[in-house]
Amino acid sequence: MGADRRAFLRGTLALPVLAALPRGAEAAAAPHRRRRWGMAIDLDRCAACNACSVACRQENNIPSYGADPEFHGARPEWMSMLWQEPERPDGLPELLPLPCMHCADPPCVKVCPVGATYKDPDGITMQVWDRCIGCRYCMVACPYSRRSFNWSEPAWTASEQQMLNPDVATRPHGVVEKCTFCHHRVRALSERARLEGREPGDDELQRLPACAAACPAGAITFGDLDDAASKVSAQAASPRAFRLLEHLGTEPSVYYLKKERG
Amino acid sequence: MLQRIYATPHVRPRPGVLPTPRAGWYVLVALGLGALALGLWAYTIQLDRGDIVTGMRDPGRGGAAWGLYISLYVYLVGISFAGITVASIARLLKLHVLEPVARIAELLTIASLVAGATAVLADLGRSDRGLASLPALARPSSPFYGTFTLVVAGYLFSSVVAFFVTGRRDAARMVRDGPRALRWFYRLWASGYRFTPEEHARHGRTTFWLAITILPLLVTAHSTLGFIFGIQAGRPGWYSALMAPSFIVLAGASGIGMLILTVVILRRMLGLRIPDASIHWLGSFLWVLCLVYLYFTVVEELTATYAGPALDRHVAHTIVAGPFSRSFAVAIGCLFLGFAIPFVQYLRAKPSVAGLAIAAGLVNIGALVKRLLIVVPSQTHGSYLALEDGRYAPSWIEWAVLAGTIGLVLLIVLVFARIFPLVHGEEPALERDAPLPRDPVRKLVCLGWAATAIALIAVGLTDSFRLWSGTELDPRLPMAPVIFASGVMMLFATAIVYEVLPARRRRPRSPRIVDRARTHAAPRTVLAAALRATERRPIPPPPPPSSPRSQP
Amino acid sequence: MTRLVVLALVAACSRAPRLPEQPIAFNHALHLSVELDGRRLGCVDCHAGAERAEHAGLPALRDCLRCHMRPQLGERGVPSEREAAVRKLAAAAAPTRWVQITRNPGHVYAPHRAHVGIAKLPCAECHGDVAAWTAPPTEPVQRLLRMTECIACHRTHGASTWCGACHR
Repeated sequence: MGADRRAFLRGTLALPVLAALPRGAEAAAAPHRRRRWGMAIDLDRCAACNACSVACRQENNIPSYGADPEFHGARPEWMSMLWQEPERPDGLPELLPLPCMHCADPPCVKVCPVGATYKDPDGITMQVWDRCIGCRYCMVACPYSRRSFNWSEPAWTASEQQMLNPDVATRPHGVVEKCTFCHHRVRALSERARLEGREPGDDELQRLPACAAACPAGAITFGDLDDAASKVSAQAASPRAFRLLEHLGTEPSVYYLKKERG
Repeated sequence: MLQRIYATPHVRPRPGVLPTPRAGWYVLVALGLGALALGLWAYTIQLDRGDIVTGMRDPGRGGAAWGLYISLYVYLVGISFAGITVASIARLLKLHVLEPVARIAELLTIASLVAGATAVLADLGRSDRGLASLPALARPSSPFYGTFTLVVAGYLFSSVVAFFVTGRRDAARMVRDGPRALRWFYRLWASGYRFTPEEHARHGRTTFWLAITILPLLVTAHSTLGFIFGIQAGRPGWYSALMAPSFIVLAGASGIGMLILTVVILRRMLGLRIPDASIHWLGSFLWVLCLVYLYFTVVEELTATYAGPALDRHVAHTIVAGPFSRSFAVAIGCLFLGFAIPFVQYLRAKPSVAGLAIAAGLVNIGALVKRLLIVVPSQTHGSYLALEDGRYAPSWIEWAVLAGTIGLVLLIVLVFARIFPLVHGEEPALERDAPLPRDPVRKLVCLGWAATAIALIAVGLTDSFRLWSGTELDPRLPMAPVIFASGVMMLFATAIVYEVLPARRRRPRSPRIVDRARTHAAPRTVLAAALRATERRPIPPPPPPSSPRSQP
Repeated sequence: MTRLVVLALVAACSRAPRLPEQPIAFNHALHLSVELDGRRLGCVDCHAGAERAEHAGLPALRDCLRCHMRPQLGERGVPSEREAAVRKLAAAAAPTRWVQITRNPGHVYAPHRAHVGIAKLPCAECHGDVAAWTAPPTEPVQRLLRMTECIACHRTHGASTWCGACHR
């Protein structure tokens, strides 16, 4: 008990010290090159097989709540597949795999009252489950409707518990969640590369997130948009490339590629 | 200067004491308690099972993430707007006809703000974290910051200060006239109020300056409510510069309506001396505000549908002619009647309090439904990349919590009515610049207090904006938003300091036993009797009775 | 402030739980002072992941058997009980079930890779004076379990204090 108390006191006494400490500069801590993570999704390759969606659910411990109709609209979904009926009877349906756009100017970050979502310097719009108070302002602010709320405490069966990914925390009820570009994978790769004294290579990054790794058609590419040599920046500069809702000025980091239809 | 107070014919007025209520009071209190209990029980179910028990779901995936709770919150804060505005305007513009309802108006403001805070807490997915994190981490760039700090701290606290300051005189009266059990309460409230011209002059100043400073705070706080919706370009139906002004106008309309209802009911139940003229004045405000709001509605509708973007037109269509058309008809119908009934009364110069009460009730129903219509359709049918159109209907839990918050407002008002007079006692007119003796100490203390408050506001606000945090995400000082809120509260508390600081006066020396012995009062101790017996000089005649206090 | 009061109450009323015994009463002080083939044992020899992986890991039985395969005599010529325990476990072909004492909650990502591998922090910085331990620890390292400690150290060393750096 004595050790507990001492440690606790040290913790509380640390607070005024914390306030007085100079703030460390981000740049000094991270001498690696600044990145701008982005994604390119080739709609001409996408067959709407939903492998990306399933892989994302597995990787990120997303609960599914079975087929209970009470949970309609209450099942978190990070990678959605938007399916629109074809305009012509002989046409093809419009398919849109939709992750979080990781906007450069995100409305969700602006409206969060506690800073539970913020823009990482490397371009990922982070979501901090532990800070979220569940006001759902970010959800209504997102023009792409890419955020989900945990309307209930997730319950895992014994076998599902065995399948949980330890690299991603499960979220309690009452917090908002969304796609993180598999930030945990990016982080681990960056650390391993740094240990070896190098930067992560584009070949390692292209299929790094779970959705990109799972896509059988190779339609999803991830990487550094600021790296001129990366595949994703080449795709983003392609004449087939477009982004969603560009007129809103959110500057999304997800590019879609589609041949112009005649 | 003061109008003749007409007693309502069926009740005997009993000046100076608390009214005894009729049976209706007990019935309403029982209803209020029942509603509050129901709301609390429903909330515990929500805490236990999660927000899945509400009707809300993910927007873009079949539902709306904001529903009745947020509408209720906006509605309740809206009601509070009118209360303190009526009271402030009455004092600023010297509208004596509104003075009898001023205290009820302020009380309604306080009660509805408290209830509004509980409504928004009920909406949070993690209210425990909300209570812990918001005081430490709230970010001013979010319109919710204005909600949590300005509304709760600034707005509620300033209303309490105004309430306190304007009630001191009646509290001092109640020390003498009120029930003995509550004398400690009245003494605390009176805080040494003495019926001197000086106190009155100071009070005139504070009420004026409080009214002047509260009004911009109100407009700011209510505008942040409108900004919650109006600044979101990504949600058709919400993105509008009219959101902030229209929120203020509907707040005024519903608030005046609730005030009319409250006044009419309380007057009947408790036999309060409130003339019909006060209520008719409120009725005039009501139809003007309803008319302005209907105008805003027309403007919004035209803007959305004339040559607007496709999704904006779709949302407007669903409201007026689609799935929400019935609710829309109810809302607009109620608001129109809320305009028409008082307007016709005004035109025909045949005012009727009953008609006004009905109109007021209709306006409140219309306001709540209209707020739901603002919040929900833009989510269910206004998502750009929706996987499917949504549906939203509040579940019984949400209705129960609504009942609970209304019950809370009811209880606060009703219980207060039994412990404090709801109508100001008569007093001479308050002058803003009545002569005051020089009091440099008071001036210095108040200036110092206000300066500290402004310093706290500056420090708290800049740190909440993370201006000193360098590259870090959190404010540098712990509890920076609380520092800001404390500064705002301190600034308004300057009024209390100014009024309550004891005046410099020469204290009479406490009479010594020898002096007491030289009066005709019977000696109370052996020593006094002995001294009396040894008195050689003639005892002076007793002084005349003490001068009457300046009471009517 | 409320959090601190609650924490104070909880800290005052809680006691470290009784942990089960470790399978082998390992003596760090002894092992770290021994010299073999001109070289002392380092932390990484048994905790293999300490520099390159997320978790440092605990030694498997075969790591112990690298040295303790042959029967050796203890200090005063008497066979040590603990060595006998190692050989008994090896004979039973049972895995060593160490009891993990310091365990970060599931939402915390505090990889050894970043702290030891990249930041080159010495093990004693966080784990204390391990070289003085004669028995396995029975209490978790308090320093590793409080976010304020992490943040304070991160600030001193200029590491990121943003949420995404250390939370899953």
